[in-house]
Amino acid sequence: MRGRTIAGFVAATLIGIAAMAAEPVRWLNVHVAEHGGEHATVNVRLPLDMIRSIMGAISIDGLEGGVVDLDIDDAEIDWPKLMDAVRQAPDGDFVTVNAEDADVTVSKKGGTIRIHVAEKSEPGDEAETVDVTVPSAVLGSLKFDEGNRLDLEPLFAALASLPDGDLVTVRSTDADVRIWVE
Amino acid sequence: MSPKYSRRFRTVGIVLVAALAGIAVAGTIMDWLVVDVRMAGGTGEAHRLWIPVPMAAVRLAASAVSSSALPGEPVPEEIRAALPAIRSALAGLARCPDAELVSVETDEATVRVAKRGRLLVLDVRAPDATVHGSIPIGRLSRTLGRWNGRTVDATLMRSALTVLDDGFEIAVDADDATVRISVR
Repeated sequence: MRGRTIAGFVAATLIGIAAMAAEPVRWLNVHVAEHGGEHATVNVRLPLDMIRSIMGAISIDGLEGGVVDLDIDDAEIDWPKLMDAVRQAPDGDFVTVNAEDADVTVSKKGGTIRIHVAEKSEPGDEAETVDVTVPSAVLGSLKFDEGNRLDLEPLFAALASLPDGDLVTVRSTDADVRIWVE
Repeated sequence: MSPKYSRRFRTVGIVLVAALAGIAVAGTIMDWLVVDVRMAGGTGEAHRLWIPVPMAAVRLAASAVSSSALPGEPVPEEIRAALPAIRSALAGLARCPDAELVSVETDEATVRVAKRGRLLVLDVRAPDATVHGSIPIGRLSRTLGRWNGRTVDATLMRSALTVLDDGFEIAVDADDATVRISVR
């Protein structure tokens, strides 16, 4: 009787340790809420690990074995140097564009790059805004080759290590889109 | 009754009881493929077709299909190209915890895809019909893992039958008919 109790206690302890040791699953969420037409709402919630493994198996035009071709043929870009420069830059507004169609701001705050695009609309029309949030940790993980091709595997690995938060939000007259990790 | 006839009746009785017990035990232990079709007639009368088949008999029948009877249809290039990604997705699904993976809601219909336990569950609700399907992920993953991906043939058919495990279900409820195919 005592032996069975001890065995049960040991088994429960081992299960507890295994549960604590298991890494929590990180999810990539996509929410699309269409305003016009059918008023469709789409929610997708997939484990980042699963997306990483699927990306490696996809072979279509522009995406081969988890490497996406950025289609930049005529430019020689030193991506590591560029990413380092952005990561090490102090907080502040890097780029501000005030155009007829839209205002664009690229800024850095608390180690996070923020891209904000605000479309200018006609009076009475709703303007479209796009916000993209890129933590510096993600920038440091990006791997490009000489052919300006981006390896998605390190990108998704970096996304998996991010704290919960939004990556992309789009608000427009047609639809709202939100992409976030948790 | 002479002792000789009495002994013979007793033997027959024992054999009958043993056979019935065997059938009852087999019925309890074995998986059954159940096809249940209900159709509402135009005049109000309903028809029902209910076919329970032991899965062992289904597998036996499938194993009897020769490769020459199903020589193999070539698989479209798009499916062949997508197969590695599908295999990876299934392997990932098998490991991931239960969750609603995809939901689409429109004015016309609702579609939900979820992982529940070892099953991938699909639910579609439309004004004129609802569809519910559940398929064992691990079995499907193993079947596609073994498949050569080039032809749909007798080997694939036999392998696909392993997907029809306990938990497999397809149910369609329409205005004029209800179809349920399940393995219990």
